[in-house]
Amino acid sequence: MSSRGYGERLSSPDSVVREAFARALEDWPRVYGFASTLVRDSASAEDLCQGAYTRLLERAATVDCSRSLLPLLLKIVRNLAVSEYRRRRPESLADPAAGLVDAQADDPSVVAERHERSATLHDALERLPGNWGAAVYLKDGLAFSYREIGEVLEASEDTVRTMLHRARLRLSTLLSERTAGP
Amino acid sequence: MKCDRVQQLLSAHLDGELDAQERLGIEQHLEACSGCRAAAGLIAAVSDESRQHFAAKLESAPPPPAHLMQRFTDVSVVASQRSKVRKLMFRTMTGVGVAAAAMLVFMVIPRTSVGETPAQVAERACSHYLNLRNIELLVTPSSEAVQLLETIFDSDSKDADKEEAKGEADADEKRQPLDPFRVYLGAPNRVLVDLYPDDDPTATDGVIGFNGTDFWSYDAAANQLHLQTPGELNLDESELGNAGFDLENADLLAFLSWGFIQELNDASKDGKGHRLTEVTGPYERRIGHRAFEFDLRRETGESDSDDKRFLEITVRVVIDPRSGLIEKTIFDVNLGGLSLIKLQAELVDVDQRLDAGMFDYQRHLKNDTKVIRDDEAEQSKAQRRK
Repeated sequence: MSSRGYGERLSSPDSVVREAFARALEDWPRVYGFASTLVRDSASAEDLCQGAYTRLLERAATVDCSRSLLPLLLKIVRNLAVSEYRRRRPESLADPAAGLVDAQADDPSVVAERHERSATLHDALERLPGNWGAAVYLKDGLAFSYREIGEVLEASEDTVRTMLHRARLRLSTLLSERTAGP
Repeated sequence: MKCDRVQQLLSAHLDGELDAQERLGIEQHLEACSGCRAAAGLIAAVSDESRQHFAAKLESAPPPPAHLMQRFTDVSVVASQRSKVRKLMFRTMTGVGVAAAAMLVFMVIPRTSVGETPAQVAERACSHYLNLRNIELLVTPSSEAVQLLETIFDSDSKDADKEEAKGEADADEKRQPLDPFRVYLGAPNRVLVDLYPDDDPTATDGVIGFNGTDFWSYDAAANQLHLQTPGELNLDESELGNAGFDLENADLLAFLSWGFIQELNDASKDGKGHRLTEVTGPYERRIGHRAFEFDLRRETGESDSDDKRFLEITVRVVIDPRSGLIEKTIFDVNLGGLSLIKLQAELVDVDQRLDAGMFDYQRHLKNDTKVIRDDEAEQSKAQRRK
C-alpha cells in the first residue's frame, strides 16, 4: 500500500494513467499464468483474468497509477478465486486459499486424468497444496521478491520463505519420482 | 551453522533473500559440507526447471480478449473523470455522506484480529473493498436521526402537513419515519438510497442517487427531481470539513478504504486521537462473531471562538470472521453533545447482479415528475443578475 495520500494518488496526469493501463494489458500473460496456478482449466483461468481486468477498469478513477498495477491485478485474481471457492465450499473458510488447488481432488475424472498424464513439472506443481504453486510461480515465473509475494498472497515474508522452500523440496521429490518412473 | 538450519535456508539463499551474515554462514558451510551442497544443487535444479517451465507458459498464454483491449484504450476517458469525481465528492460529502462512508469502511473490513492497528485493519479493508462490485445495506435510523433524514429527503417541503393533506394514495405517505431504508453502493462511485426496502431497487422510488455523472435527489412533496452535475453543486462545507477532514481530496472509493483511516491515523498523532478496541460480548462470542468499537473525538470550529465544539464519532461493528464481512454496524455521531446521526446498518448482500441503470435518475421518475436542473437554475439566476 502506498504511504502517499489518496489525494496525491488521484492527481496522476492522464498520460500516467494511460501508460499504467497499457502496461497492465501487457501484463495479461503474467496474470493469466498466476490464475492458472489457482484453478485447473484454462477457461476458468481466463474468466478470473477477465474478472480482474474488468474490476481494475471499474476502479480506474481511484487506483494508484504511479506504480505497476500487476500486484493489484494478481491480488484481485486471488481474491476472486477465493470468493469462487467460498461459494462452492462455504464450510472451509478458515483458510480458503489453502483448498483452491485441491478443490477438485476428489473428482474421479480429474484423478483419472491426472494419472493418465505423465508426471511433468506441470503436474507436480498442480499437486502442491494451498498457495505453494502460486508462490513458486511468483518467484520463478515473475521474479517477485518475498515481500511482493507476501503482498499478493497476504502472507508474511517468513511464511513465503517457508512455503517456497517446502514447495521446492516437494517438487524435487515429485520430479525424482518421475525420473525413477514405473 | 548446522546442516538442518542451512537446509532450511537454501531456497532463500538461492533467491538472494538472506542478509549478509546468513549468506556468509551458508556459503562457508556449503564449502565444507557435501551433503548440503547436494541439497542446494537439487533446489537450484528445481528452480531452474520451474523458471523454464513458466517462461514457456508465459509465451504460450492466450492474448487478452478483444473487448477488453478495446475498453482499455478508452481508459483515458475514465482518467479525465478523475478530477471531476474528486470535485463532486468534496461537495457531496455532507455530514451524512461522511457518516455513510465511515460506516462503510467498517462494513467491508475483512477478518480482523485483536492487536492489529487501525492501519493494518484499513489495509485489509482496502484490498477487500477493491474487490467488491457493490454493497447493499439495510439502514435503520434511530429516533434522533429521523429529523435529520427528513430534512434531507424532503429538503424543499416547507410544510410536512401539506403533504398529508393531499390525501393521495402516494406511497410516500404510507412511509413511517422509523422505517428502514436501503442503500446500494456500486463501483465506481455509484450510490442509490431507496426508501422502500421491499421493492425492487430499480423501481421508481429512489430518493437520492449518483450515477458517476449526475447527482440527483427526489422531493416527494413537490414531485420534483433535482439534478446537479459535477462542478455545479453548491453545498456548504460540512461540520466534518470544518473539523479538519481533508474532504477536498477525497473521493468515495478512496474515502471508503485507505484514505479515511489514514486521515484518522494522522489525526491521532496530534493528540486528538482515536482508538479501536474489541468489545465482543457473550452473545457475539456464542455465535462466533466479534465486535469492535472505534472512537473518534475532534474539535470543531475556530479554536479562538466561542463556537468551539467536539465532534464525536463512535462506530461499533460486528464481524463474522468466517466470512470476513461485517454483519452489523452501529454508527453514532454527536456534535457538542447533540446526537446528529445514529444509524444501524446491516449488510444485506454484496456483489449482486444489479442493473447499472438503477443509479440513473431517469429510472426513478414518477408520473409528471418535474426535473429541475440545478445548474441551469443557477445559470439563469446568474444571467438575471447581469
